[in-house]
Amino acid sequence: MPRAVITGIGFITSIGNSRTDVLRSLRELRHGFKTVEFLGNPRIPVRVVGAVEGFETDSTNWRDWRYPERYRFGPEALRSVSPHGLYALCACEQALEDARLGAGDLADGETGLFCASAGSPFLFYHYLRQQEEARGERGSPMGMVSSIAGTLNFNLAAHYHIRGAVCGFVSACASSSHALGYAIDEIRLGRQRRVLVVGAEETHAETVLPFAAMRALSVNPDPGSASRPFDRRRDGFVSSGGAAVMVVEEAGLAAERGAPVYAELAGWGQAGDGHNVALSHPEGSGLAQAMRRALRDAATPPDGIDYVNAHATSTPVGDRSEAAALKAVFCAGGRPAISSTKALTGHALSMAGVLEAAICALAVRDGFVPGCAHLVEPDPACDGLRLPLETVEARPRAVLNNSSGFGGSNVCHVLKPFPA
Amino acid sequence: MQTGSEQALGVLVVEVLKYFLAKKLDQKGEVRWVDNVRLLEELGFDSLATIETVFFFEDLFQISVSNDEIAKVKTLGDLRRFVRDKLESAKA
Repeated sequence: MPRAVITGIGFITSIGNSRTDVLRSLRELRHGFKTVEFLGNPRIPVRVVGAVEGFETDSTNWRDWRYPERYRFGPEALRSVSPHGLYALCACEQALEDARLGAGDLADGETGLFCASAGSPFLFYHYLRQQEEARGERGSPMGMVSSIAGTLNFNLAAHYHIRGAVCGFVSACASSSHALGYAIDEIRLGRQRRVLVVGAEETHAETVLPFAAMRALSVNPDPGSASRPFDRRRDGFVSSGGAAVMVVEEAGLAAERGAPVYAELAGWGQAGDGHNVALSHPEGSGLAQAMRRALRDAATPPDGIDYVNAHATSTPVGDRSEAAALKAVFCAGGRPAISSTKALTGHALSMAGVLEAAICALAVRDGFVPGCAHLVEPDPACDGLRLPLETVEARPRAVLNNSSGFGGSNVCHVLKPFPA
Repeated sequence: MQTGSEQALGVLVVEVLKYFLAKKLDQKGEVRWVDNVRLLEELGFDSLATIETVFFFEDLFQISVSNDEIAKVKTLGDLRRFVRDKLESAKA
């Protein structure tokens, strides 16, 4: 069976807009949070966000946007994207350069594109309001393709002339984990030799505040402690955005090209909670099952895993549920180091899965395990779990990347050094 | 040039077209903005860019443009005449 490996990564994130910066933030446990006032309203209690630096995308008109000089995109690329589409274009450019690929290499029919985002509520609302003001008589022709879920795959497929499989994934905070999982399958089934996996999100008020309405966001105003997964005093997640891109290739193709490999995507698994539309199962049953399926797919026993990048978003219910799932899977053997890098990045929603898989790939290649930033007093629910407070400088033999989304949709990946 | 003059409208139409150009032009910007310049073939307008331009005029002048009317606009001159006629009929 063909094997799937990672040959390129791109980051536009709250903890850095390059692999070097992200790596430094992870090793030194530097968070990427800042204080904001949403909608100019000081009464909104949510005050901390993980926003990307170097971009100005507050306008609904792309001509007003500012982005780093090293990237240049023409009107044809930008006229139909939302802010997170711009972040994705920049992250794609990084990932392609990293993988030693030119844009022309993607139009070979052997390359697919799997994307995940929630769309752009910021632009969607703008265009709907514009149409409403015209009493439905007219609207911008770019409204749909720039803002609805799927906007990433519409735009990136056109921009890079992708002729392989093109698809968007919508499972909330597990979306890009699904995209990555199915990319692994495409490679293994021999349907594609390369898949670009993209996750991106925005941190505009229209994306973030609906989570405040669910009481899911932290109201801790301190950027240094608002996101503290597994801590007893955690009170919700800190929203984040940007883009993360991964080039997944068939190992033989990577070897033919002489492309350096970060890690092998050795397996994946998924399972539903069958429990609640928003809350995770109290015992983490679906997540535990997803972990077991991923381990089985990767032919790796629990004691073969040295690091788990937990989904833990810093919500009271979700982290407790994941702690239970981790105990259930690893009680029989193995005591991997566990951390949630959302303590540093924030929760990047549908982008989180591929972002954290990319973080795992860096951990495998560069030989370290990020510590549990901001963890002061572990929740008693975590008793028995190994939660290192500092970064551990050791190459993990295998890592597990967890994700969960609304409706109890759980996805896990196993990454290993390549060659082993 | 007076506000409301036909000459001003002609300049406006050119500036709007420049604003909505989707592709970088090969001629290093040396486009001859004459009436017979073709929107699709010479200016690189695709259907989305054309509709964007039409939407801009609809919104600016509070007019409505049908698909049939859009299909008849092939050149800069067509667009200038079309916008002028629309405004005149809106006044009437």
